[in-house]
Amino acid sequence: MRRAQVEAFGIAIAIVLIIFIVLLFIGFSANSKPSNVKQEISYNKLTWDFVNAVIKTTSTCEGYSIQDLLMDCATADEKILCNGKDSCEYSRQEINQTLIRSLGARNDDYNFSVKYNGAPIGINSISTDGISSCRNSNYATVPLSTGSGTLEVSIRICVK
Amino acid sequence: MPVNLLKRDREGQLKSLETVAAVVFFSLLLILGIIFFSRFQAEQGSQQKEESVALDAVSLAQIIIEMPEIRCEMDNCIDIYKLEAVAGIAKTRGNLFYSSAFGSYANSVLYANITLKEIYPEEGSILLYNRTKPGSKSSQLFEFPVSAYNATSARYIFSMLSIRRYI
Repeated sequence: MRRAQVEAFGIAIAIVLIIFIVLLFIGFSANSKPSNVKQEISYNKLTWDFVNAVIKTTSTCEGYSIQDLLMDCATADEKILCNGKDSCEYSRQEINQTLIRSLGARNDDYNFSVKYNGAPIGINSISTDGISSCRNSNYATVPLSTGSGTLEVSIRICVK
Repeated sequence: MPVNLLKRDREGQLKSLETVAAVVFFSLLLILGIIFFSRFQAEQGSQQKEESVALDAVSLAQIIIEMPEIRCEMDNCIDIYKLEAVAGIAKTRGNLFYSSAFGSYANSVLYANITLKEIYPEEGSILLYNRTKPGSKSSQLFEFPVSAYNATSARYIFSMLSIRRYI
């Protein structure tokens, strides 16, 4: 083998080695995010638990639960009245208080909403900063049957 | 010494210098690779540790919420009076999980602070268990939403099960 051939062979080996190292670097960088499927499942369940705990809460209105007030708000012609407020206004106030004292106290951003047969019923609670700039969030919807339709209680919580 | 011999000697020196340079270059590449790989491994290790602490807290919360000694008989909630009774027993015994039914938690010492924080409409907190880890420098706080039932006021209270794990 001539000297020039030997040198060319050496350069080729060096280039192959460098490409191999670069590929290794790219491979490690791509896999650097740990698999967090379990964590996502857990946090989605927590979001679902959150909605369930909110609607189960007994309101300060004659022992009605938040769920009772929401169902009344969505379906009743003559609504429950408490301290001069109807079930819609009262449930909105109670949900706001719960969210401010729990998620608000932790500076978590959220968007809580209620729909009846797919249409919003005017019960919406959004954190001060909103979730429009949120990159990653957990979402849960709890469907409730009212007999005449379906009430959907949803929350989206921003993950920081 | 003849001129030809001197020329060959210089060529030989140059060749050996080339070889040394190549060895140094590849050694540097190898060292850089090892440093990068070890840093990557360390970073991934700490991420995995954080993730496992979070998952452990989630499973711990699930076990506590599902404990027959604590949960409500009919609904999916925590009975405040049952919780207070279990907290008293755990304090006397020094252990929250007493049976092999609780898996690995029954056989190991749990370093945590577990508190039920009542948020709305009633406010308050009940300490279920507390044991700090000797020499622990850091801790992580996890909060899980639960519904707590107060049989006296016949109210379901929106609460947070707060778990602080000492690392």
